Amino acid sequence: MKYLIIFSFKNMFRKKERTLLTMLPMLFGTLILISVISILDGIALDSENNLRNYEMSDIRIIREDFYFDGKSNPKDFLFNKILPLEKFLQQSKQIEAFTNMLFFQANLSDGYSKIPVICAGIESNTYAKVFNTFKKSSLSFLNMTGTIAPGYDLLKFFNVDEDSVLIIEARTNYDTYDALDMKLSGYALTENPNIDRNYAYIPYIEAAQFLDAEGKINSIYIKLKNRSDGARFTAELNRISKEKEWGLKAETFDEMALDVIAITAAKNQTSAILVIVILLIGGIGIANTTLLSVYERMKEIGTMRAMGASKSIIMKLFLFEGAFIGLIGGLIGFLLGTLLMFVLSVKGIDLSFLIRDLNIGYPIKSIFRAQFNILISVRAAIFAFSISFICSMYPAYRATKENIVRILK
Amino acid sequence: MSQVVIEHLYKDYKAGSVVVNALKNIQINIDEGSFLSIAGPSGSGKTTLLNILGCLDKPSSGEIFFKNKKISDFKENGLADFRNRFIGFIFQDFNLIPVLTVYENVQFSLEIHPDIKSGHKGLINSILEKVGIADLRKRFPKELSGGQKQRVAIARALVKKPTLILADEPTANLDSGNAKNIMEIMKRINEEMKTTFIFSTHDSLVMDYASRLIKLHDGSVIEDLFK
Repeated sequence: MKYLIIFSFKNMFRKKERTLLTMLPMLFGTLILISVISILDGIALDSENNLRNYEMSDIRIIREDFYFDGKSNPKDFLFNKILPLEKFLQQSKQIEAFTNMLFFQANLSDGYSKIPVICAGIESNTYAKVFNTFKKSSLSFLNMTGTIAPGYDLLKFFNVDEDSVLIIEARTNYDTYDALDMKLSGYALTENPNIDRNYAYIPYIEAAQFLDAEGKINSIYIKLKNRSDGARFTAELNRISKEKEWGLKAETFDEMALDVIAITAAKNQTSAILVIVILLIGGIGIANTTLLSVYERMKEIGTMRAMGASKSIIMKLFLFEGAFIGLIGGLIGFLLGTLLMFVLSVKGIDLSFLIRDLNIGYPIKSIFRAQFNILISVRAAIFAFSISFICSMYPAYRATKENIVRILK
Repeated sequence: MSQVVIEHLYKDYKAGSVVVNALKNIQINIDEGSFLSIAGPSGSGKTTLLNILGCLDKPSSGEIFFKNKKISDFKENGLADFRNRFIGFIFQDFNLIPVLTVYENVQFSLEIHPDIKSGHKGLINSILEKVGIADLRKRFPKELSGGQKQRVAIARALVKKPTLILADEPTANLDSGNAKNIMEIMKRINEEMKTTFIFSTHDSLVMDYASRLIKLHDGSVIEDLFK
């Protein structure tokens, strides 16, 4: 066995061009596999963080009958602030912070253009503890009445300066349309394009007065100290709500982000299939080159068999060769892929020139960052090695099938 | 005592729709230590006979005994094992493994041998000395002349000490000087080691060296001459 391994190595290294040619598809396959998977994982992680940090937090409490789509208006699902619930949340050790919100569909206008938005009435002091929306700008302006902070993209759309006036138009609680002039005094610049494109923030008091819904909210967002407590704490909240007959339900992040998680999973699967196909093509390349090498070395194989080499020896020789080529290709791919993954995790890849205004289904902006995880590289290298080993089987088998007399002629 | 006994051996094969009788009722006894040449024109069946003797091909009918062991019934693995233990091959085109050096080409024979597990280095060096190419051990086949390549092939065939060496037109690709040298080497080894040599040839030089000459024509033995 040891000799056969050494012989296979000699064959590989003494036929450098052939070895390199066979190795390249596996090397690039591994490199692409690592890059794509790490970027997809990075996108999934960034998507989750962007949803948690700017839009959904860890848990949301809403009315049991709440639903939000293009036809419904969140303002139709209001509930009164419940003091025992607030007290329970304040006393809970699992909670880092929580904030009440009153959001509704509205049109935002500068007097000339109009654009549909989600207007969120927030309590700025607690909101800043749950969400990072205003980390890049000051929240203090929202303590002043009559102020508004739209998403950064909305600001660009209206092309307005500080101190300009924007108008909110919406249906109130009495189903009458009303308008509210608000002074622009800030903006939300986040990593989540949905926030920058679709949200406008105003003080809670303003929102409640505008909708004729003083003391009412339609959601409570909770940030946990430990995300893994999400499911357990949600269940506890739901149990208490049912017991006290509050008519509310708590949702975990996974329940809120169902669509995005499904999109991410579907895209990951599609991309994984694509990458596997690339590797399979690499594998077929190995099979093809090894098969050519088998045909090229037919006389050599015939000689070895005439000398008494059994079929299993011949098979092992070619299998070892294919496996080593896959191993070395996979290893180089592993090293280069890991390096690329590291660079992509630090610098990211800016695809703004491609997808500037395109909704790609992920709540992230145009810089895609890879998630650095050495396990991705290890798995990719093992996968590449396995494929090249499997793809060497047929040529190796083929090498033993020819009639010795015919190939020695 | 006969080393090889061939009884009523026939070999037919199909060439398109035509059945060719390559060998017809061959009956030969070959003694241990023979230096035997099978001669005949192209298509006379000498290579086919050599292939069957070397267990590379199977007869259509008839039997072959090697030291009283019936080898014509062996299955493929059994034949490979038999070749490995008892037979050495020398080819007209040398058939050296191009990626291996002279030393490694000879080494291959020993590495696949089921019984010779140690002392490879000594065996290889000794056989390389014997065929006069000890100083070429690190060279690759492409760096050798035809005569040198054939010496490597002889060393490779002999290193595992087979009892039978089959050589298919061993001098066909050599000039007369090299051909004579190669025949001298093989004759010497035949005498020293009592190894049986069977050649297929139409080279008169090989026939001159042979101690027995079997002539084939159209698949039949037409002359069996002991010198």
